[in-house]
Amino acid sequence: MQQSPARSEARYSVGIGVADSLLALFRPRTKGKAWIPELRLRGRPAAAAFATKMIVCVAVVGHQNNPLYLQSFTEADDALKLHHIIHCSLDVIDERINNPKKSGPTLNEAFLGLLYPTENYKVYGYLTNTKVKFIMVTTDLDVKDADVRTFFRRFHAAYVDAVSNPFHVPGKKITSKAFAQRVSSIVKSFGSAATT
Amino acid sequence: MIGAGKIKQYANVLDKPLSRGRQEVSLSAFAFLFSELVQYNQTRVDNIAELERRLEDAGYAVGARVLELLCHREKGNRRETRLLGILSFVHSTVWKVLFGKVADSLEKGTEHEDEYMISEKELLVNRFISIPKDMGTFNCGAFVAGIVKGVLDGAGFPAVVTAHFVPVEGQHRPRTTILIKFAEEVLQREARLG
Repeated sequence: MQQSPARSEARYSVGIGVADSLLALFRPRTKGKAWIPELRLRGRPAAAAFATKMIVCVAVVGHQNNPLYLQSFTEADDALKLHHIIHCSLDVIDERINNPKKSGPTLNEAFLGLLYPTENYKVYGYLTNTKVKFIMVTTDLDVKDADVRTFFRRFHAAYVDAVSNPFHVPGKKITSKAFAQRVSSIVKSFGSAATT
Repeated sequence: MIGAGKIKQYANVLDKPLSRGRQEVSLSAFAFLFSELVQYNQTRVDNIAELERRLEDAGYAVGARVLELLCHREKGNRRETRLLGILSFVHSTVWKVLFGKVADSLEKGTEHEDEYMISEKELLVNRFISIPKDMGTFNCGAFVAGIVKGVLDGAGFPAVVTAHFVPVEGQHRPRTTILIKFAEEVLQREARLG
């Protein structure tokens, strides 16, 4: 889209002179750049209309209940409300750790399942061996268990890779951009039939 | 994973197995890197205790990451809450991933309730190292002790871990023992769980 106005202007200015045609090539660039925000605005509503299976927020919480990574995926302004929901779900996780419900093969399993449903969100939890918790908030109301497990498995892989970074200080927030990108791609492919 | 022996060389590239297999690092590469680590720390400390502490800190970071990695890779993994569970995890799984074989033995200390020992005929990290006489009881196995400490701390079992030489009659080189002394709260929790 940037190139075509430049080319059409250049064709007009052929008769004027070489320097003028060069100037004509440079001028429309600014016009082209001004078009881009329009495209962005047009693009966004189309994506938001897809909101059937959407994860709105993921979080990684350390073993002392300190937040290590917090990312919300809606442009809406209730990000604070999502943080509050995640904070409340930490209590539920603590309860589950200290009073194991069942004994036998399901004891001490990593995937904690549905923590608690609120008005239009569902909150899922996952616990690793180092008491690091992954929490996921989704707006989907009939999400499949297998999908959530796959999501957490991929998320765990991304988390292990982020922690293996020698420059990562355990206990501090995860600041790796690669981790953020991987998490966004995992979130985008949630719900669709995809590879492991 | 450090190769315990020689890496198998395939004469024909078509004979190589298709699967990626377990990754192995050459022993000589690791030995050079480890000797450089020890030398680097040696020039920056004043006494032996400080050198041991620095090696242990280096191992601690490795241990924390190894725990995260193994928990993710092991299929059917359960979170260990019992003392014997986490000790056997360190003794077999962690040793197998790091050194290619399980540790030689795991023993419970006789004098104190909270002491356990993992012993090895010769630690892989010490294979190309001989300690000069004036360094006394220093053991480069402090690095492995740090790894064990990192794994135990990450799993929720705080402990003090040290490495010692134990002379064995009939053998020229002494055996190495990793001594694990668990904190009070671990024993109390263990007693409560029954």
